[in-house]
Amino acid sequence: MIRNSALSIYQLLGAPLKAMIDAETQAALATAEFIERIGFDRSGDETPRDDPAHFGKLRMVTFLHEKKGANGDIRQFKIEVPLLSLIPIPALQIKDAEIDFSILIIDEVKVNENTTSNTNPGETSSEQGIPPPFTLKNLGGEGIREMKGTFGSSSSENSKRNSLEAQMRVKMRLEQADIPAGLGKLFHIMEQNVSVSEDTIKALPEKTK
Amino acid sequence: MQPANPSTTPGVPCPDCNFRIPVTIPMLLMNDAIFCNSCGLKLSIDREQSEEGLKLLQNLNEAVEKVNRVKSNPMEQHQVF
Repeated sequence: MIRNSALSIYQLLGAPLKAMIDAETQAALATAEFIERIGFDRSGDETPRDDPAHFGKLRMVTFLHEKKGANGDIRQFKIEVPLLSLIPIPALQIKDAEIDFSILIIDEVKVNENTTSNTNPGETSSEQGIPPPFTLKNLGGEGIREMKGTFGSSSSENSKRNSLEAQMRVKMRLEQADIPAGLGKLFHIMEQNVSVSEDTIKALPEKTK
Repeated sequence: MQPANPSTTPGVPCPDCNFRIPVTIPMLLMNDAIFCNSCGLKLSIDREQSEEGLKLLQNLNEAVEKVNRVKSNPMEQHQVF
């Protein structure tokens, strides 16, 4: 039973790593969706919604301020600022992660040097999305050998039971990600899109002293 | 802790002195105006022109408040979601 459910060591080690990469991918997609939904306006945009090259136009927030003109009259100016530059953009990344589990080595199998190593018959590693493992040559000179194992437990209570019941402990620390180059470019575009113009419609009469 | 990058800190560049006026979401939702910390210039928020954006910020702010409430009191989760 245990032998059948055994996986290659690289799979046992690689699965939580792949899960973390998947988690970071999801976080990046969530950031992209946040930017698109909050920062851009697609109303009246005819381009298909699934077109990644078209986000729509930047959503702006308008501010007004008054300034004394050259001849002493008070004039009103309109400042349009991209909404995205007014809010913090959530971009999380895994700062560090600690995966704590013990592995019970239950088997060692000889694999053909010329073929990709498979852990289960009929199941290629590429099907699982995990690249083929590096294997260590047996010093005895009888080809490549690969270890097989399953999750073990260091606790005496659990070691008496099926070792698959052992739990994996994962500690993760998240932090706000450094600004990726693409996001930096977006900030630059937003800076350039701050526009100041005189609000002629709402031009104010000179204030009485 | 490094100082925040001015271009990535949420805010508005002052049109008079170019000082970056820091802005928060509650500030935009609750105040009618923001002031430059350097020259004191008053920037009034045009709520009419910015209605759609402010509505989105209102929704975002409510979601953030809900998450903060659940974080501070996990038992409240059933009532919030």
